[in-house]
Amino acid sequence: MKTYELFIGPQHVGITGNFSVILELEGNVVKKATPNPGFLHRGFEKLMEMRGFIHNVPIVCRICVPDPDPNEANYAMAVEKLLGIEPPPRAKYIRTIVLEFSRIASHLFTFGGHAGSIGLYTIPNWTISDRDFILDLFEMLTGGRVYHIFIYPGGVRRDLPDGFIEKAKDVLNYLEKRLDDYNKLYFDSYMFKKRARGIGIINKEDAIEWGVTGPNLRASGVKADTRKDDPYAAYGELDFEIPVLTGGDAYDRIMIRRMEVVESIKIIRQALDNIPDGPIREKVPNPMRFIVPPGDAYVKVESSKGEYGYYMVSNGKDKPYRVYIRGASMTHGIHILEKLLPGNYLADVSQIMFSLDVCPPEIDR
Amino acid sequence: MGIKNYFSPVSALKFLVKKPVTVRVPYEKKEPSENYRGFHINDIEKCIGCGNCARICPPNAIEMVPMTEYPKYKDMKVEEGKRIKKIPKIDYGRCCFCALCVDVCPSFSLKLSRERIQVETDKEAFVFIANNDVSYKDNLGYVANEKSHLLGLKPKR
Ligand code: SF4
Ligand code: SF4
Repeated sequence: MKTYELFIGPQHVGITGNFSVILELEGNVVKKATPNPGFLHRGFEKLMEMRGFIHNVPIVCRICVPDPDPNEANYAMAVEKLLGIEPPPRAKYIRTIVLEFSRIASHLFTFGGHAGSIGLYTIPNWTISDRDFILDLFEMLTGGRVYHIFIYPGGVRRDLPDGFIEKAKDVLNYLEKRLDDYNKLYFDSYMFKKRARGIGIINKEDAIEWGVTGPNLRASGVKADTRKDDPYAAYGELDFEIPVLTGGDAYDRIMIRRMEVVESIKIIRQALDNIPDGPIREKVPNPMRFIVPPGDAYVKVESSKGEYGYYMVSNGKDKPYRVYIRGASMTHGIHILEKLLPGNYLADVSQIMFSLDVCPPEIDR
Repeated sequence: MGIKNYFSPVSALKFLVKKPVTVRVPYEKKEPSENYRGFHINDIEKCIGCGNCARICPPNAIEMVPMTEYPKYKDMKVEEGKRIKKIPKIDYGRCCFCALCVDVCPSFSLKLSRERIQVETDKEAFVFIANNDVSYKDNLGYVANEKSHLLGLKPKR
């Protein structure tokens, strides 16, 4: 049979963000896939070399739009490591709360995207409206809805406002209740199981060899999570589990995210209950002349997409000499996608992509 | 994957008779939060013209212009040999509403409001000197406080 080329490009409904895949198809079976992420190149790494350490704070959150806070935390942690300071305990708890809410918001987005790609169009409407309750909380805490620009080297920018803890608990209770509704329509549904089981399997060996991280790795049966293995923020003091599944297919990759939402709710509840009093920021240099001592630091965090790492080199000036960002989606969006797509039906292409939770802006930084 | 799962999605039909969560803008209003980051408000009399805000601004949205550019102070007398105070003029095409300028303002004159509608037919309409003669001057949003101020200053009462 003759093969033909199909371009599912940045405007296609089944694509996560400004990303495209060039497919070679035979009938409706994919023979070859070439992901092309270059539509969203904003040159973060180079830009950051030309700006002061504080000027970079509003840039880093833009590296991953649905889940901006791990980037902010990671950047701040790298600067803190170079400065040789630790944020105060209250700031660590506030960071944990923000990071976990961000994770839930991002997972809700993924559920919506995946459910939409298999034809369950009610779920995207639900998840996006439920995510808005989290954005309301962010707005209350930080003043911004999507980009919070909140985690600052040395701590956080503002203290919890009055009534935040109660409102956050209400949202958590609501989300927990909503998970039952999601179960009925989505996670337990016959259609989801029929469509997603056995699709796009990454086995354990491949996952390790290709450098898959985050929920995708845990769906393939490897128990690895930076929050547990190398605790940062307040994770070391909180009690939570790392869910692991062994199937490695699209179904397990979505289900592991559902289990993580439950864990995140647990983490936030503990953090809200045990938050210590005290200052929210360590003493840091003047923001206009933020001089960082020479040296280099590598810091990693666990985002909803996988492991992020920031390698920062300072030569003792007020600008970083080099910032290298390791994003999780480079592996998931390029190498793994290229490997998984051949042999699948065209109709499953977007489903596989959403189950990998690719965040295109961080592929091409 | 039993018969139960097959019919479980039907339960979602109950949402047809529930109250929607959507806010019907513009018939219903959605109030922004207490410290929402919207357009700037600047008390020009209080501003000391230090330029901290312009220096911290990450996207270079702030330009410092002489105070006499603002219509209210156009005919202000300037004494011989004295420099005119410069005040921030903000380009909202660039501003990312990070509020860093608010948190470094030593006089606490610069604040953010909760006004956020950025629609206008004139492309110059959103490049203006931050002032407190605007209609939303009492609708305060993000205001620096003792804990948030990045220079460690306390607001004067
Ligand atoms: S809010 Fe941020 S981007 Fe806007 S003028 Fe102030 S410092 Fe600049
Ligand atoms: S930082 Fe404040 S006092 Fe200084 S120029 Fe800007 S608005 Fe005026």
